[in-house]
Amino acid sequence: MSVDERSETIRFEFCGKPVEARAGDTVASALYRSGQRIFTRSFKYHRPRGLLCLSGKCPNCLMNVDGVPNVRACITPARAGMRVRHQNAYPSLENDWLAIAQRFDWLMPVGWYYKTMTYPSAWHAAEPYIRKIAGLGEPPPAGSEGGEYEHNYRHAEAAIIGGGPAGLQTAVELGSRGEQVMLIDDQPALGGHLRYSRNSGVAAAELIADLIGKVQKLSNVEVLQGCYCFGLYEGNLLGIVEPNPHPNAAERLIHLRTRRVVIATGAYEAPLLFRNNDLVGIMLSTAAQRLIRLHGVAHRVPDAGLLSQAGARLEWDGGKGAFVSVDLPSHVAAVGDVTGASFIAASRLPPEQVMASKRAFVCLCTDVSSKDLQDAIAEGFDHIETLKRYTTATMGPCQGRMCQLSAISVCAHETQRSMGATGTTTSRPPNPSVTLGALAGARHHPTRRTPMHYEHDALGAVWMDMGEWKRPRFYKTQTNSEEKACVEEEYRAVRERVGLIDVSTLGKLDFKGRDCGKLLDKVYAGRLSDLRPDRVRYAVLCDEAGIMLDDGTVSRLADDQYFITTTTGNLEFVEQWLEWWLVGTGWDVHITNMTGGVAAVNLAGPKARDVLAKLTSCGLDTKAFPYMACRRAEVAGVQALLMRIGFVGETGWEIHFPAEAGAYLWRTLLDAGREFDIRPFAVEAQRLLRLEKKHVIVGVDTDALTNPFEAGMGWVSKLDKEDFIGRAALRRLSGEELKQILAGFIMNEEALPEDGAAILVNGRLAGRVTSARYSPVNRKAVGLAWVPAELARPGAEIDVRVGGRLARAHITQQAFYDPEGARLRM
Amino acid sequence: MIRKARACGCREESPIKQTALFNTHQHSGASLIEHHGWQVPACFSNSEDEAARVRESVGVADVSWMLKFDLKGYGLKSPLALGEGAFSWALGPLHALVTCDPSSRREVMDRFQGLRTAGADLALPPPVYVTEVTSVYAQFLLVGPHCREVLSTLTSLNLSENSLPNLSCGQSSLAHVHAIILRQDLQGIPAYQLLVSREYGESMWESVLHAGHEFHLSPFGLQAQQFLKV
Repeated sequence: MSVDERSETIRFEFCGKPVEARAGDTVASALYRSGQRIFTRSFKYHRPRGLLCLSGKCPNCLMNVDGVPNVRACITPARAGMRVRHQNAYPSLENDWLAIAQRFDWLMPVGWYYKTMTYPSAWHAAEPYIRKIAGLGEPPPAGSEGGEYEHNYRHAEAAIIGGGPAGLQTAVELGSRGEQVMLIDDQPALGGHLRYSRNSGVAAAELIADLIGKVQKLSNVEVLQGCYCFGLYEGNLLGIVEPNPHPNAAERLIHLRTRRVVIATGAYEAPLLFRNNDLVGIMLSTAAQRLIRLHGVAHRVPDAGLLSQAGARLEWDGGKGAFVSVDLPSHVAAVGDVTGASFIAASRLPPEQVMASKRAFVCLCTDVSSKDLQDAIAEGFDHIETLKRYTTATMGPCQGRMCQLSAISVCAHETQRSMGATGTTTSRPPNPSVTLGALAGARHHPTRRTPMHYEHDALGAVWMDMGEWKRPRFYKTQTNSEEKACVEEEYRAVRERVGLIDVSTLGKLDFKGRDCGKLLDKVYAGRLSDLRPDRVRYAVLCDEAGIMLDDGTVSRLADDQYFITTTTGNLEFVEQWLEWWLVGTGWDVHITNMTGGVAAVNLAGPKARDVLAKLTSCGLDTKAFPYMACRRAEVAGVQALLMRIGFVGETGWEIHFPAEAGAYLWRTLLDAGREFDIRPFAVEAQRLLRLEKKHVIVGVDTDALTNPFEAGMGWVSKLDKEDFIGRAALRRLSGEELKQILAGFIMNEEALPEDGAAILVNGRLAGRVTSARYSPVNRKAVGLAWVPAELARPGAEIDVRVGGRLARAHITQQAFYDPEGARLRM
Repeated sequence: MIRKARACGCREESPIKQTALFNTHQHSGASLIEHHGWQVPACFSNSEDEAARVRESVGVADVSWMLKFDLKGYGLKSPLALGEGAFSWALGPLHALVTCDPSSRREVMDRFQGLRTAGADLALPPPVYVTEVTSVYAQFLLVGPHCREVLSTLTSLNLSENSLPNLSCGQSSLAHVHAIILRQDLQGIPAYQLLVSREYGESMWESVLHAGHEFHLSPFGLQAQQFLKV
């Protein structure tokens, strides 16, 4: 760390005590100066651990910073006022009661966890304690993280990972050619190992200053300092984390897409294996850089994680004593020490008695010793990948960077294979570890609101989510907030007077062109080309296997214009499905999605005509405006499309009009209906109303295997028309005997089954309920259910499971309410 | 043209058009006025400050009242001649979006009529089908020296000068919602028009404001827009 001695001191808090730091300090360097030596307690045995790598690679300095666990203290710049806490130790790092675990290491041989913690007995008893004792930091309570997370998307011609001499030199060269370059360096300042290796002398300092100066002059080279790249994904997409990009954000995840990637991650020193190699005070030597670089005393390991993610193969080079990357893909380059070019082999493994020690730690993250590896190999886990999974070595926060070489050496030695034959484990992102907050990004979830959203709010709407949409479930009233009573009041208003529901969430598509009829005939199961202008038809969409995908209404507005509605959740699918079948036909059809731009309400009930007549000059009597007709007319001065259809089973109009007039027309209709005691009604009441009419909701009452014949809607498919999607399958199905049928049932007694309840016949499971509600007209619960075909006859008795017991019900053929549909046509 | 609004909040006799953000604007204390039949914010605090903030950093305005037309048909093989004040954006090979100020509605509609009838061969389908989509999209104007940085936190679309120069457009996911992004600089200040389906308007507005925290992004009203245009 290059600390500026003259700078002002700042203060942060460590476990409640103030710690002083200067500009350029990291959390770890400031703590070390203040006398702190123990930084963490180990995963399993709670052994004290001190600084080891000082480069953000090992797990020895993971701390909780401002509520965020597992922050690498050695690469986190100290900021005034930050609150740092230790983790996995109680009451303190120096005096950790749980260190007693060390005494019981003989109880915890490798794999003990898998062998003893079997479900359910031991696991249930032990889980809460294990969670407390073992592990790393605790996840922060929801909503308490320091600041927010955000995402950012960048593009560049070349990305260079690593700001050491190799990376800087590459940046200068590519930058001088005019390429847009991003240089990503995870250290506090540029320069790589030349920053701290004193013995590289004045020449190195000059070299680095010169390179940094050149890079800074190039306006097309952007340096992302203190940011780490954790993954290289398909299509040269790099995942990069920028800590504290600005005061409001804890972390920013940068998605960087580039044409080329240059990996200059350099090399790092891997720890040696000896007894008690994890004691506090033992650290990788930066002072011994000269020895390392010239004589190969210690092990250097190419930092090749990203190269291997890019698809390079790692091959053991005995002469260099390292795994070096070969077969790089063409868009990725490696420069500097990451290539292993300057490496010299050094001896690796300690004597046998050290290898057999429980205290020679291979994996510092999860306390795995060389003895543990030996035991695991003896148990048969002798492949490096199975050894990794069984012992968890290389699987901790360091992601193998501290332990992989030791693990491979032990494995090779024990299995008497070469290092090359033993091979490496697979490197996958993230490397290093990333917070879940950074991956998730800002806490934003797209929400879809209808134009009348705040009108509903004012009316006491209780909201429900339908995909991304917000829809009122029912409305609380001043006298009543209980769902059942409110729904029934809404229901009665529609059946007896008049009700108004917001159906703006319906998908709406505008069709223009001479060949619209052709496309609709091809895609929908019914015939739509012969629909007369100003008429509406119900239509069902089936796939090639005759399975029902969606339903809706098709209105013909003119010879070359149709208007189609889809169910709320299926708009995107239907639009794509129609476009898909249009491609290559050469037909003159143009589809425009109007969903967001069109507000829609359904005004229904015996008094609906009286309300609407107050606001429009359009003739509304059944002769002028029959059932299943549509008209374009002004309603309260708003251009609207009126459709006389009846999902809820009463005289009613679905009114489609521009979204910007949504709130206005909603209020105007309610005002006009006041004298008839109009009520807004919502999804729950609508579901009850339609169920009494036995109207099926595709996707609720049907599933991914339902064809129209089973759903009792065989009439929707016109098998005699020209070829259409699903015709062959529907033809075949029309001649087959049905196995199960969607039938209506009425309970014989006071009992309300839940949606999805089981149906039994003679004690055997025979089907299930898809929808059931209490029907005020029948004074019993009614519903739709899948039953065996032989039972789908009026009067057949079935048993329905209701709250743990069986209740008797009988099948009905007709709708539960107004089976002739007389009220619709009034 | 700005007319002083009738008092807000009362029941209007004639329909006044509301953008998807009407409620948000009302609650933010913006003063609302009528603009081509729409209720839009005239200013949020002080128009001159709002304009200055845009020039220095970045601001966002709800301009959903701008006219938008969806054009499809083989007549779009050749570039459209729409005259001044209207902009055509290619969304696909035979698919364009036309945007213009409400004041030029008549001229633009006349031109569309011309396109439909130009060289009309009755045996062929009309060369261009026009669907007005003004209501379909919530439209935001994001403008200021820092607008690209704000936008890059919400979309993976390449916003660099080479990739998305002035008067070009792209379609991409914006805060997880499909959006049309039009680059249309305002008097030399970098600017984007963001179009998302209207029902996402409020949620998108929140996402954009949140993304701009770093640059003190704040909304600006119609008056500030007039200052910025001159």
